[in-house]
Amino acid sequence: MMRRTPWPAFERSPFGARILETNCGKAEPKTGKLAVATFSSPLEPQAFHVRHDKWCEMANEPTTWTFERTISSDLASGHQVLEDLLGRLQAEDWDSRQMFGIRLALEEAVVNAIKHGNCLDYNKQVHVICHSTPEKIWIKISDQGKGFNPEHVPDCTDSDHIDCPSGRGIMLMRNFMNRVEYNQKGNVVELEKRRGQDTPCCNGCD
Amino acid sequence: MAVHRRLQLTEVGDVTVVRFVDRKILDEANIQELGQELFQLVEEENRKSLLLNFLSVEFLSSAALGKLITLDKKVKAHGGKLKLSNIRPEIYEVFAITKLNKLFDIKDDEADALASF
Repeated sequence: MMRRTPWPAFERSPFGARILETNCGKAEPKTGKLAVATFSSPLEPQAFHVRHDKWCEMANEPTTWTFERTISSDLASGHQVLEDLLGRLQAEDWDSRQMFGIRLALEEAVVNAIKHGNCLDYNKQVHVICHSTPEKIWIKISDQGKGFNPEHVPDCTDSDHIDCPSGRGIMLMRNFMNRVEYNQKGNVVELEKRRGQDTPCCNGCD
Repeated sequence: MAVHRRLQLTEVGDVTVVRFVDRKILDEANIQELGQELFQLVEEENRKSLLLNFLSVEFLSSAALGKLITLDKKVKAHGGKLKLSNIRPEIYEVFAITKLNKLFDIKDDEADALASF
């Protein structure tokens, strides 16, 4: 019988409850939909300490829609969840370059979580949540792996590493999204893309 | 003659022009297969001049970039030449962000690339 690593947050309540546990007090959502949306995490609360300010900021914004899935650590499930989420985004007013960047950033983040975070361990899961607001989309991808320090990933644009076949995913995410942040442990990444505020074409390139 | 499921090959003089079957190069299994087929061109079929035409490619991930980098190393190790062409602007931006536009010889179109071998 397959045994999965338990996620206490989900065992208690899949929706809503843990929003009250944040450091910024009880959030008062402006729309009914946000009350249904969960800000709970499948990971331990301390892992989110550094980002609670952002959680609270999001909690006070009206949410147009929320997408949430938990998947097993296989790449086919990862691509299915990406297609479903991108299908929601394609119905909105993102232009083709923005959609390309969002797709690329999500692809890199989800594949990283499944392949490098959970090491393709089917007993571990990946949690994907996306909030869409009138101003932006905000996505959080969490895995159950050991985490990593993104600062320790070699700079593949450096001439010593330019021919290294891996390590470019985070760089691409940072260039195509407006905000990319990892938690302290390095097993949760938050991505943000603001509407009408595109990232410059090729940040820092010449 | 090797069977290629992810590639379409044509010969133009001494140059092997490679086009991609997949419009989106992102599935891990497909990328592995794609890599093997590309490496086979160099290591088993001993082709020296390769042109990768990206006309049909709408999307690729960093995993696909990794295969191209490994291919470039293999081509150089065999004393061959590798060129890329017909890369759409969004994908060119991926090469530029990662500075791989400096590693690869990228031409606007197939005619330019063929003329440069």
